[in-house]
Amino acid sequence: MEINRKKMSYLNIKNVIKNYNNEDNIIKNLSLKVEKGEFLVIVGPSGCGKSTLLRMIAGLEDINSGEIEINGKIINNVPPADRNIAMVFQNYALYPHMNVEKNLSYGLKNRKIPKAEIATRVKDISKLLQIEDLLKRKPSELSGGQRQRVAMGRAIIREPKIFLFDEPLSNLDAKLRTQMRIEIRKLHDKLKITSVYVTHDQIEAMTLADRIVVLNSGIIEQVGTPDEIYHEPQSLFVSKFMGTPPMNIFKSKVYDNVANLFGKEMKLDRNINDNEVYIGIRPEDIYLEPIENSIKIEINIDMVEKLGSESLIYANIDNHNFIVKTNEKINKSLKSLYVYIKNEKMYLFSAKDEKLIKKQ
Amino acid sequence: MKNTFSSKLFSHIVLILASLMFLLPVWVIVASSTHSPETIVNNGLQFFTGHNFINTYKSILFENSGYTKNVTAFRMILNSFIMAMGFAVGKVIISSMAAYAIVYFRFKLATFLFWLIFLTLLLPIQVRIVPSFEVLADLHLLNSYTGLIIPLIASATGTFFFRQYFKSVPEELLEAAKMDGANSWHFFIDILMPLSKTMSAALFIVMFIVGWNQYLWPIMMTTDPQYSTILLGIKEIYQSNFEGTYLPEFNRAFAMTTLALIIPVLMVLFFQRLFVKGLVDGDK
Ligand SMILES: Nc1ncnc2c1ncn2[C@@H]1O[C@H](COP(=O)(O)OP(=O)(O)OP(=O)(O)O)[C@@H](O)[C@H]1O
Ligand SMILES: [Mg+2]
Repeated sequence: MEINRKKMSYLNIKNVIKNYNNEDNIIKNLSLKVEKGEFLVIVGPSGCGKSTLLRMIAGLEDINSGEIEINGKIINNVPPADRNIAMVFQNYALYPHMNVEKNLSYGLKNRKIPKAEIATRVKDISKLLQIEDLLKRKPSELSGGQRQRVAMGRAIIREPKIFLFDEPLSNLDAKLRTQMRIEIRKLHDKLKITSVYVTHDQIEAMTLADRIVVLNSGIIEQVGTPDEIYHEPQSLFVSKFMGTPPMNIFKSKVYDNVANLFGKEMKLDRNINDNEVYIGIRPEDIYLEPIENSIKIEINIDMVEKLGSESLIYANIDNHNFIVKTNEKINKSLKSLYVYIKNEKMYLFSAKDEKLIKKQ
Repeated sequence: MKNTFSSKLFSHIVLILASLMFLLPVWVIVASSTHSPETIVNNGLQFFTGHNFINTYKSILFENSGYTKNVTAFRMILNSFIMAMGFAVGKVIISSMAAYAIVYFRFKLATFLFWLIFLTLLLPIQVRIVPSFEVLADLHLLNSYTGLIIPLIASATGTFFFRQYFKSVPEELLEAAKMDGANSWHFFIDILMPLSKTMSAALFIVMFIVGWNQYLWPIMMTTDPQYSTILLGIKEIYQSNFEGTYLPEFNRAFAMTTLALIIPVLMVLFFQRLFVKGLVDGDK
């Protein structure tokens, strides 16, 4: 199954607003373009509207205003079946009374595709997804991972313009999730079907995505490559949301570009117009060895978690929780420790609008 | 309760006794039907089978009898079967479709209509028998299978059960089917009905028995003996036994009763196997 670039589709969402029953808007004037063959991942906390957005693209949910286009054609009023979009549901939604083969071919049958062609496609797809031996089984006789594969097969077999995934891996155990994640990405590299993938698992987002969209209560916080999202978070929300363990955030008064970090003064390398900022430091950007241009802070260790190659130190200073990630060996009985933090490695966010204050 | 030998024994004895209580009268009827009328009149009900089986059953099944001597038991069983079948199949179809409309087409009056349908539970056929009769008489449907079946088909109970079942079917299934290009008819036929086959079968068998046992409606509806049902046949044969000046032919009456039992029993036995299979398949 080779798919050429010309056949690939793009999706354009323009100023979409959505609410249920005339209550508050769930999606607030959202615009987003998904490029040809792109794998776009939408992340955000529970209830931020990810599924709603996906279901609007699929046509399962009406939109209140705005436009959704596929390849430049407005599809607002096109019914789901005619949009040529396929969706993989969180609980798979396989037809329980049909065997795998019938599950795969049901959509094709409804589209009046000739029997011979259906048979060929079922064969191709089941080979691609390694479910050839399962064709005669019912969904209840499959493992979670196998059901997942069948659900994907059912979507791929229609050769859709766009592929939607709504947290497809969240019902699987950790190991299987990692494995399926890799398979989904491999599959995408092979088929290059424009895909929108919703998850609240940031590792999934980071590993799968060409670009990530961070959604926060119906508003896009940031769109960017995984690297951009991780290294250049544009808002406090994104910085807190992406990264495990999460970024350490402190509030600090600023006077004349000098911040106060737990009693230590530090000259900031950015121009601050407010008298207060949020300071963010990633756990892995905290050093245990002295380095130049850094300040030295004593932390009280609550707990040390060994993860094999690295350790997480859960600590506190002045009742602020503080996490340090390090490759060095840490003695578990240690009660306190000096750490070094560096201005360059800090993210500064305005205390007013919680947006990033850029380096000059 | 401990599952000791004595408790097992006890429960088995209770079960066996209860079964006997139900089965004995039936058996006495079956056994008595195989004796000659004289034996029954002289010696009362019989516990063991006699030698008149073939004679009695052959005559009752295939020779005209009844008031006007122009209908066979075979014909009456056929009529009962057609009525019960139409009744049960019709109920399953109508109530599943009504429930489908109520659950999946969220039109404005759906809830109201559902309760309206539910209210008809309070109006069994006995209550509406006169107007129903009027309507069918005007439509010239007296003495017809259509007239026997149609007025009884609407089923609040069936609609209720299907509604509850459909509500438990996950929403995603509908959405997946929509994306797979299924229209509402496809979804109903390809997905909902196969899913609810165990329930449909249960409803069907219960309704079949109810339909088989319909008495009041057929007696009102049919004046032509060709449309008479087996239950009417039983009533008639007992009646003539008591009115006639001949020797009462209780063997024939018992044979008629036995025949009236056979079809429902066969249906239950047959469908019981389907149920068990449906339950074991357990794909919900
Ligand atoms: N059919 C509905 N009617 C009314 N409100 C709804 C409906 N569906 C979703 N909502 C509301 O819309 C908001 C967004 O829901 P949505 O399912 O899109 O969240 P989500 O981002 O997918 O969350 P999760 O990660 O938990 O799946 C929630 O506040 C939810 O309560
Ligand atoms: Mg969701």
